[in-house]
Amino acid sequence: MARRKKINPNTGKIETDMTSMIDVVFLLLIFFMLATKFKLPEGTLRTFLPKNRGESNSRPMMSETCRVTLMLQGSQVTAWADQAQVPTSDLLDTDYESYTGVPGPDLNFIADHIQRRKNSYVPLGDNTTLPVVIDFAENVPYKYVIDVLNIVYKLDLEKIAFAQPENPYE
Amino acid sequence: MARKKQKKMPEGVDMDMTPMIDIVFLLIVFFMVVTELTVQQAVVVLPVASESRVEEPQPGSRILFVNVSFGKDGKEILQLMNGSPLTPERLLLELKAEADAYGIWEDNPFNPDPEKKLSGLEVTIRCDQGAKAGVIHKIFAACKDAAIYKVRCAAIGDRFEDPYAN
Repeated sequence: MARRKKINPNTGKIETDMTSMIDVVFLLLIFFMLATKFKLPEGTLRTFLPKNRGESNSRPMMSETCRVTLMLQGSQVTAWADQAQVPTSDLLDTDYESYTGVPGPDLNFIADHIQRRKNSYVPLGDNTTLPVVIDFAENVPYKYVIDVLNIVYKLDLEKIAFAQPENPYE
Repeated sequence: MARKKQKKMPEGVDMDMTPMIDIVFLLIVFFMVVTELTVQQAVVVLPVASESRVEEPQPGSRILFVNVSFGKDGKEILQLMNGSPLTPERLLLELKAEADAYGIWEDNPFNPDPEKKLSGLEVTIRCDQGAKAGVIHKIFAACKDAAIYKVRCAAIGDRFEDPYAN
């Protein structure tokens, strides 16, 4: 006689084995935990170009502007704030300077100089704040230009110009 | 005689895993939303500037990224968005094409000539902090000639790890 199949008394209940799905879910989670890199949001410094495309004839007098000059002498970045030479920093302050092993100009000196110029500035004509010109040589690392720009922004100065080379496309 | 109730030894401890599975699913959804699997921009070491601000893009605005990074040979590479390396002259042509395609122009307060209108495009320069600053002049000149005046320099507010560690 053929064996009778046993009837499951719980035939009303359907069970699915979720173990495999949970395994896949954990694998996905591990993948995303390893693939995700958290990074800080990138900010920007406004350097809007003049709307007159630099064609205006009216320029502030040289004596009015505060000029910061950056040059590269060998591997050393040297700076002048107006006619005063900026001393070199004693420390390797930033990751870039630690990487190159060469200290940069003392940014506190530049900040103090611009602050003094700002305090003694008398507004003339259209310039309500001290105009600042940042003049840098072509081979100066970009970091130092941003450092000076950051100082100018910190001092709430609005009139910022970059000195133009004779032929910018060279 | 009263019947002694025999206590059955428990066969195993059943734990309800449902809340844990819920948490795992929430974590997966979080990571799926947060993770960017494609490299959107060239990898550059941006300079640190405490006064840099994260500006939310205005609705309808278009921001182009000009990336200045280093190639494997140590030479500087100029790219528009994630495109191929460009010369400054080529960058000017690309910017002009982008400005024409964008099609939004602003009146020039200094010149009523309709040919001298200013583009509403915005350009953000993402330049490696070790790159030569002279490239900025070239990018500014290209933007000026393409009638783009809204130019920004990208920087980060702070950095917590050494980018040159590897």
